[in-house]
Amino acid sequence: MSFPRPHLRLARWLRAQQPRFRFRPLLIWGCLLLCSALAVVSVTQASAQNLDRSLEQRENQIIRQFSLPRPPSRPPVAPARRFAPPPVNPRAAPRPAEPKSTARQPASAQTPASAKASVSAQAKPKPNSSFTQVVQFNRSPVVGNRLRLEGPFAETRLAFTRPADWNVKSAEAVIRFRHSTALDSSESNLTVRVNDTSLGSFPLNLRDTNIGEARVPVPAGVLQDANEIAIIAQHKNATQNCTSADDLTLWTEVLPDSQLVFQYEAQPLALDFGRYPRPFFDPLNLGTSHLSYRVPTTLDGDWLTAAARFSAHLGRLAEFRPLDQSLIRSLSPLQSRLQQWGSIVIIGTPANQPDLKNLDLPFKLVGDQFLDGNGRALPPDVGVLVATTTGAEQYLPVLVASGNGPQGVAKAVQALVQSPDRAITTGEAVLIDRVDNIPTPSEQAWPGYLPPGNSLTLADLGIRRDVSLRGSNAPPLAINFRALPSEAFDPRHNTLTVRYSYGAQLDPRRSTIEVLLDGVSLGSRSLDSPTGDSRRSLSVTLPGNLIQPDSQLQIALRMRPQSATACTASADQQLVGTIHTDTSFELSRYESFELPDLALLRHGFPFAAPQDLSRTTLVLPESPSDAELELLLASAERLGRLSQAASVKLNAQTQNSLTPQIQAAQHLIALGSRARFPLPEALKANASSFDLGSSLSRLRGETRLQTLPDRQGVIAEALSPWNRERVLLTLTAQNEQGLRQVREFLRRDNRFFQVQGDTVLIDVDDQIKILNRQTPRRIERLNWAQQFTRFLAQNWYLLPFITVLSALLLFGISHAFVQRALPGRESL
Amino acid sequence: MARRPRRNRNQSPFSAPATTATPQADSLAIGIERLFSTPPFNRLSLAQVVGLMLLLVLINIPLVVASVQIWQQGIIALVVTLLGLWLSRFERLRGLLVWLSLLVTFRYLYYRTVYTLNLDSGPVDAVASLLLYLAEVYAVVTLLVSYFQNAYLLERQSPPLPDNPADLPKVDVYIPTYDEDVNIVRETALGAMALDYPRKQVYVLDDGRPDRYAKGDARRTLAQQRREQLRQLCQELGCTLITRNNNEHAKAGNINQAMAKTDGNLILILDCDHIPARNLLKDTVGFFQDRLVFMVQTPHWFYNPDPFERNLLAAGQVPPANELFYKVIQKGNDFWNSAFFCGSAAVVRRSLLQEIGGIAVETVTEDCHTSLRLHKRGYRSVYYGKTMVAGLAPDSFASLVGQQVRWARGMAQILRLENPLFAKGLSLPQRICYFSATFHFFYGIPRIVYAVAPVLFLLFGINPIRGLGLETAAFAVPHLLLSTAASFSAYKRVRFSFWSEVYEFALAFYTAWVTSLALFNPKAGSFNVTAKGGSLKQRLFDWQSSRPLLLLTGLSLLSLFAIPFWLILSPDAWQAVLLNTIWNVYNLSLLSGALLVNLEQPQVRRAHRLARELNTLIHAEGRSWVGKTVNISKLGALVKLEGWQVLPQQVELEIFGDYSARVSLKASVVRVEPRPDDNTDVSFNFAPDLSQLQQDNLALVIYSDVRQWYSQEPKRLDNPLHSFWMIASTLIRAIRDPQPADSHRLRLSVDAVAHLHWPDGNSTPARLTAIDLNGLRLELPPDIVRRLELQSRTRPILELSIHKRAEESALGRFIVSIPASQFHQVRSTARPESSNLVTLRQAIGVELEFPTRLQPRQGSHIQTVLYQLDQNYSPQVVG
Repeated sequence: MSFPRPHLRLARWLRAQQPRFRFRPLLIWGCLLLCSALAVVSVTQASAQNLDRSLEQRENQIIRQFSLPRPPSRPPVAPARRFAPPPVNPRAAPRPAEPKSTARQPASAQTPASAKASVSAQAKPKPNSSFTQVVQFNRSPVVGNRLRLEGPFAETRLAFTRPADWNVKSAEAVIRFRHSTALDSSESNLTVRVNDTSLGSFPLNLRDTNIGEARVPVPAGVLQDANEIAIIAQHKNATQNCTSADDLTLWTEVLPDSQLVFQYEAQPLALDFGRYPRPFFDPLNLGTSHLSYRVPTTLDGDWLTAAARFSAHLGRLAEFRPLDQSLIRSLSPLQSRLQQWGSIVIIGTPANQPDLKNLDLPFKLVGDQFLDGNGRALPPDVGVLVATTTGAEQYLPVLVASGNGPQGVAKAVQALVQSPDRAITTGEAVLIDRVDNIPTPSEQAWPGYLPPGNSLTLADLGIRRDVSLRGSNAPPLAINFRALPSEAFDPRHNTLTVRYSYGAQLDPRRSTIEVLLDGVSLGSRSLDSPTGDSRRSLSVTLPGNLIQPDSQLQIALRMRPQSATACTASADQQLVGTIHTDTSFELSRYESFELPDLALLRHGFPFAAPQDLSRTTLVLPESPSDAELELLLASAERLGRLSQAASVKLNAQTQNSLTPQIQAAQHLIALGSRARFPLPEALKANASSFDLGSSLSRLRGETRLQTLPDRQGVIAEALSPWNRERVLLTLTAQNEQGLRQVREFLRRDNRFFQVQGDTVLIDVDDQIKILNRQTPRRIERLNWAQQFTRFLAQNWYLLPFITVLSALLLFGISHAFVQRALPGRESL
Repeated sequence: MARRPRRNRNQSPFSAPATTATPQADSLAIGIERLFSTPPFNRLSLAQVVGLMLLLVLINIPLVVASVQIWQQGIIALVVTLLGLWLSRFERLRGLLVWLSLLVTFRYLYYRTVYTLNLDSGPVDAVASLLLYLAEVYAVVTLLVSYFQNAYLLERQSPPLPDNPADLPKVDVYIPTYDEDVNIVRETALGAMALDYPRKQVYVLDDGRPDRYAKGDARRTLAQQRREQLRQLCQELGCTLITRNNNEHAKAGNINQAMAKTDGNLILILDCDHIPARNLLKDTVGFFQDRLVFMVQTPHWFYNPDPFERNLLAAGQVPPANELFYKVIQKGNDFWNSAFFCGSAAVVRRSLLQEIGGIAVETVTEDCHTSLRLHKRGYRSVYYGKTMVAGLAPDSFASLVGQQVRWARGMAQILRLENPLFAKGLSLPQRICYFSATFHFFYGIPRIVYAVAPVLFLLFGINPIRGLGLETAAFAVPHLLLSTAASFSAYKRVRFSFWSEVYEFALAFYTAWVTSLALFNPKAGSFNVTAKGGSLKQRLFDWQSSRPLLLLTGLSLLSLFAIPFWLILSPDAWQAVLLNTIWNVYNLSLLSGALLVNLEQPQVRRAHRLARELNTLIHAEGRSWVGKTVNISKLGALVKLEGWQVLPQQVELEIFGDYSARVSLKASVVRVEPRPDDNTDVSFNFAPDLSQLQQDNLALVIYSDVRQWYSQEPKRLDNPLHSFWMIASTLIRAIRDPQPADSHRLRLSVDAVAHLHWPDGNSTPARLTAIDLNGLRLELPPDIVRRLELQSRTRPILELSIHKRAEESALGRFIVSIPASQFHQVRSTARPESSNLVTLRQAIGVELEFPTRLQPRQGSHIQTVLYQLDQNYSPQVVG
């Protein structure tokens, strides 16, 4: 029998075709000639027309070497503040630091504290006067109303920062505590350390659970920008000879009204872009940072885009720190309001921002044009960044992002929001000629989340060195194992192979290694060699449905000493285990998500994919109101907080400048009060949706009701009517008050992270109502095999039938095969 | 030419000829076949069909990888397995079963690969895990290629030959010999000469050179004698003896050297113990009308039980070991044009053989190697499935081991030297078929690994399968059962369930060793001739060579004792323990069978009986009886006669072959077995002093004059449970001594009177109760019996007259002998106890015989008396 050979047939066919291509070289030469002739003709025509323009360009290229104005003799500074710190958001509070033995996060990543005694410290403004700030423990969500230290040895840590403009004179930790009456007063004590410097110990000798107060002076020299206060309790039971680790009577409560009291003087900050974002925004600030945007005379897409990008950028800088962005219409308000303004941001051309004329700028402003040092107007596409001050005594820092044309302004803002460009800015003023276009990262590149790829190691998750865990109570190694919001995992095909070693002297019967995902134990194995072992491995299956965007994986070594008695708790430092960096993950992940789903918005999805926000456009009504602008800033800030990339490419448009192309290609966030809503078609009610009708009426399906008054804000997500792969997020309300509700909702973490469903109604009293009005659409990017596999896994009962069906088909086909092959053999 | 076989064109592929299909299965199969014979399928070319099949296979990947919960997999497994087992009843739907089995097998393999490799629990576990995994992969690969190989079993019909004998190609018949018994060669040469083909010449190629022994060596003289006998034999029979003066390349060299001296167009190669049937050439030469055909192979068939059948005491109850190869695999190979030469019983084309320099000499399986080379040149082979030779299987397990080891080594050599997978010139199916043939012999190490794995777990706690438990079972059981069912469906006539495993276990250590050795050094190893034709008188256990198997069995047995400890010490591992226990018990049953193959059982018969139905005439005493042989050997025959017959001791037999051969010889009756179906089975022993002509004719009748060998259509069907029980219960049978069957004497039951005439002149009347041509039975009072006993000691001859009634005259007077042995029996069995005394007093039966020496004189007289005593002549079993 002979098998046909397709490749031979193909070769024959090609040979047969060859003669037709014999004239190919001629043809190619002909084409080339024609093309070059056309090019010459068009170039000569174009050059005639564009002669002037090219001349100008060439001229510009020469002029690009601008001469700069003479620098000031003394570096400019933002004078020290004249006010006591304003009362901060009472919810912002310190958080306990991660335990020391695990991967430690930078201490600066802690929430500033609140000021309890701020009222008392609100002294009259006086030059170089000292201020008092009280930071209480109780605002931390972890501290809440209790901070308990249990066991023979217990330690807790809280982190706090020192704002950049503080010159701390003195500080004091006031620890208020209560402890168990079972403690042996002679051998139980409480130690306070700040930045690993022990500052004092106190015996735990109170009677009858009285409240004790320990005042520990903290030397100013100990304090750094990021600080950590550790409270260590050593407990011993008075009635027993030895102390058991499990003894429940060994406790000390540090009361939540314990506090840190700082005495400081405000100090001036240099106006230098090398130190950006200071003085405009201080990441170390303990309270809320305030920024005010000067509203330009005309509001167009360019300004909205620039402001949105800047706001998103600030959101990224602030991370979880509170930030208050507001709008001002004039730079000459009442003195009393100045302190609410914080730093001032002026974005726009001199024509659009008339206040620029009143500022002390290094560049001369003639007419509406910036001039360089030689008195020539800067080209319109050159951006100007200036750090300056204003206010009565020039203590308000002002950030100017300007230029002689809108492109210049955009460049100025872009230079600040792009981290590589920001890193090379310095000085009081910066001229931006060109800005590199940073390529958009892929949709799957989400910093802080699982990196792309199915085979990962610990190093890919940020743990680049082996981690040793020591002691019987060693806290587990915690690994952020955050799935992308857009992805799903196969239920079974995900494995983690932990490579570990452990030392000698542990009790093989009671010591285990355990892997937990969000507290759910996935697998464990006993550490069964009493002499220790190295490079063992443990494979566990990670259940796909448990891996969430906020998942944390823990690898715990539960080590017990060999001759364990109640008193050996102290002799456990020989117990050591190491998790190696070649611990690996084999994942089976694919893109799968449902839209609309506001729960995904908690992680910024889908607007933050890609992370430079380049696929998101904010849409506002024509000539937006202040409330709408503030909502724009808050939305952009929230998106900034939820994303991380080298650049921000967020867009903002007004209703009229929104083109159909953008409408179809981008995720849209439409904001505005109902009456002025920029995309009214998105508000149209249909049978199953909730909607605000005309003023004072609401529609939901067939239900129609009128409410009086309606102060609720609405956040609703729906698939974009112009592209089923994109979403449209609606931020709206019947009136401005409602819009402010939405803004507050976006600004505050604890409220924002409750968002879910597809529609959220926000009430004045922090209440939210969640509606599900649409059937979400699942979007999956799977190849056919993955889709089929998933389908089968979900409909397992079909598996035998499909198997039989498939076998029948193959049976039939093989019959057809034999029918064709048989005659050749039988005809012998 | 191209006479189409009579096979139904719509019959299902992937199936043996359907015989037991039911209407439902038929309609389903026909429906599917019809569906794929309608547009658009019937418009597809072969390449498109192959493409479509590949596409479908790809589409099935999700079925293989879809992951579900354990209980869901359990239900899936149950449904698919039950369906598969049901399907296995219908041969016509075997293709469906094969695909179903493939799907579940791949599902298992995927699960096994992804979830169960135990690589991170230490090096020992990892090595064990990998070994077991590789062994399983081996099994899956062989399963796959065997499905492919047996996709369609080509049943060929013999093409007609030209009418004019002058147009026939000239055929040389080669009978290569080495040191075999001349009598064995004689029978083969006789058969070859008797081949029904006008243009043939028979050559005996003797390699048994006397001068390979040193001068003075006794063996040299023996070899010289043997050579001389062969020369005479050839002269006598009219064939040609070809010898050579070296022994290079053994059989292959022998044939190659002979090829230079003869000139036939075709060559029929016969092993010296392969007696050809008369029609062998007539049926096969027609295939050579296709100029590209280089060989027509016919099956080998052995009329004696192979060592497995004999030593496991299963002769006749299971198909012989080589049946699978010749009844299924070669037919499957033939479909893919890769049926290969098996060394004997094949006709080859000289010109094509010479094109590649004759038979290949590089490996010890020269036959397969030769066909591989010819296939590489694009020539075709034909496998004609009709059994046309009768041969002798190795008579002891040791010689079977020698043969198998040679094949294993040779196949491994081919795989190594001329890897068929990558050989140029072969088509893809040929590559697969040859790969399958060579790769098969690597079963040794995997087989050992399967046996060791549960032992490792139970005895040493080494776990080659991670998470072995019910989940593993849920994946493995459908795979195992469906592949077994698919094999069952194809092999149920030729290989019974679990016997392959026994064969493999028994040979595992030997083949594992030689295949591994051949992989490293393919040049090593020489040709060894398989010894045949011997016979074994006693039970013999080969302790020496069965040591590894004994060790393995011992360990398996020992590990059963570990089970209680497991259950007590780690009860949570019950799933793993359960599965390992089942596995171990299964292994143990097979191992016990494999071990008992080493226990050589004695051969009961001196010559092997063939179940042939030959017309037979029995002449004696002027009378003739017509019968048919039930079985026949060179020493005797069992003949079935109609009605219950009384035969004299000595008879003349005339036996006729299927065509024209006949033999007439003297025989004596050994045993008579009246059958309930009103027939009589009579066993004859042929006279020991047969003339050479008689012997030759007898051989021709038995082995050559055969229309169709009875083994062509196997009658027994596999029953897996029974088959397993047969293996598991071997031990019980093996220790029992084989007993020859009882003989039943057929006599006329009469009520007559006999007078005993004592030497002193007195006579005593006695009651005559039974009589036949050999003797009679009297009932006598005890005192007379005592007298008879006395007489038997002194002079055991007596005169006796028979009367129909006491008052009538004597019908005849005869001399009878008194067998003395019966009186001992009487005394020992019937003790004169008080209760029995009365019966003893009344009458005692005594047997008297007509002496054989007087048979010629008395015989016809006795016959007459018998008719007078019983007009109906209805013999019965008496006494």
